[in-house]
Amino acid sequence: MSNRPGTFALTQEFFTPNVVIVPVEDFEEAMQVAGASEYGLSMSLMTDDFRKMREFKVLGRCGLKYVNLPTIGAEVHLPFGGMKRSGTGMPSAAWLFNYMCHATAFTVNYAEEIRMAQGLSAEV
Amino acid sequence: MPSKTIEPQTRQGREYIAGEWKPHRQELEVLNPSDHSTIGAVPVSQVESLDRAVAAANDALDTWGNHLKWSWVRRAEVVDTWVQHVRKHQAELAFLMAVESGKHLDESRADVVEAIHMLQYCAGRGRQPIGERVASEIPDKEAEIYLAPRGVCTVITPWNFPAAIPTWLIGPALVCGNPVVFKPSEETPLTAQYLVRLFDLAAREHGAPPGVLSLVHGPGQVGEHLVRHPDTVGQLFTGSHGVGSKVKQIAAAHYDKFAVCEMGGKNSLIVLEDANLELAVNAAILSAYKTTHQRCVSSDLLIVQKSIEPEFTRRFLEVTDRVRFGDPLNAAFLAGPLINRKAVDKFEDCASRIEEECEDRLRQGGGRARATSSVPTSSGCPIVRGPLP
Repeated sequence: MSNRPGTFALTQEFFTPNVVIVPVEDFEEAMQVAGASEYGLSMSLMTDDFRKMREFKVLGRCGLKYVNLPTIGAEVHLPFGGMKRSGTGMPSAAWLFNYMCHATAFTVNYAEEIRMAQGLSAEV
Repeated sequence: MPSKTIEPQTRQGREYIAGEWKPHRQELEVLNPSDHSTIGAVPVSQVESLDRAVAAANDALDTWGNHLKWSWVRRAEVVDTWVQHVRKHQAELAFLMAVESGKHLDESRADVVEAIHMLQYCAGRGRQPIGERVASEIPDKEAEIYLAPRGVCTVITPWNFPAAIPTWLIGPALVCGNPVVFKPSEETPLTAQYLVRLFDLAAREHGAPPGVLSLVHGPGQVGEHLVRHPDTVGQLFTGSHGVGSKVKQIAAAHYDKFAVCEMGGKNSLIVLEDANLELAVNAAILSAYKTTHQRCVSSDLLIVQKSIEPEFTRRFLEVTDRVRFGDPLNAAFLAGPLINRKAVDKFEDCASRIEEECEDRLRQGGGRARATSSVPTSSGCPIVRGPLP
């Protein structure tokens, strides 16, 4: 890979209007550079190649993936949140609803005797 | 039409605890990032207030989070009323946000619309299936997954989505039965307060228990006290990696805490040689410059296949030259100023470090001359090309 790994430009979040253009040989090198930081929030791929789109969907290690769209532009009913250093994969509407509740098991026996699961003996 | 004025009561920060608004000594000035003029001020919530807010939230949990007393549907109805108030006041909220955060009015409007969408989604969930019936091995046994509220949540949010992000976190927490103590960014406390005032209207209309949502103000220590508090369970945070990591560590060390953290990114836009270049350039401009690159999803890296890189770069530079940052209320600008002086310093530092690493400076950073105004001109934005030396 021609791009030096570990540099500030390739690994640290700018959060200010600075931009680095990184020329690469091909899609594989592009994915390598894009995935080189510890963050994993958003990524875009500009292409009409449907096979590359699928590889991008499967291999991209981030929470938001866009094809032929900017890296900005979330909608509330879709997941939002990062992998890796970017976060715990939330907030996101539907999934946050599950996470904000404690899932508990509630079971009721309607018989006059106790029967146990897994064939466990209930004799006392 | 957006409101052109901000009412005195909107400018004055107050705590909202146990359903009551309390004025306090105003300690933190809220500045307009465009010209650093003072918009208003907020108190710094003291430990006593924070503990009262947590106690009120736990009191509210006994009603709000108790399905013998309050149903899912009823909770969702409170949120439904809330969103109706937000819709009525969306122009005022967007204007306040543009002035307080520096987000362009166009983006501020979209931020409020996003908040509305999120609250609509949360209200709609009130009548969706909750939990599941599952089969048992035993014919006479019935089994169910019952969803119980988790407990009182701390919500700590950043300045860059002053309405949308709070609703992303507060909406689901409330509908699921978890009372919230909310500490917004000290950069945008007035937008947050406006949102909470509209919640207060809804809560009163429905007779919701006081304390189901509290608002406190202040810097990081205020949030830290809430996160460490033994009676807060959920720690819902969006912001920097440094603070988020601390939130996760505090939560991990306590037997009953959990953390939901979203903490920034290092985002890339990849352009392959078969791409529609006009579309790619526009996508790159929006990714790099909307909200003056102060979104967690803004693109730092434009990774371009070599065969088309010179042409892509030529066009990207051409459009960048037309990009202007400035007054968020003026439609001529794409985006507003940087949020504060610290962000301007970061902009300068970041530009210097990138320029040191990259030999090929396509566009020299020149923001230094404008450092006092928080507005990096388009010509102040450096663009460099790798491969890096």
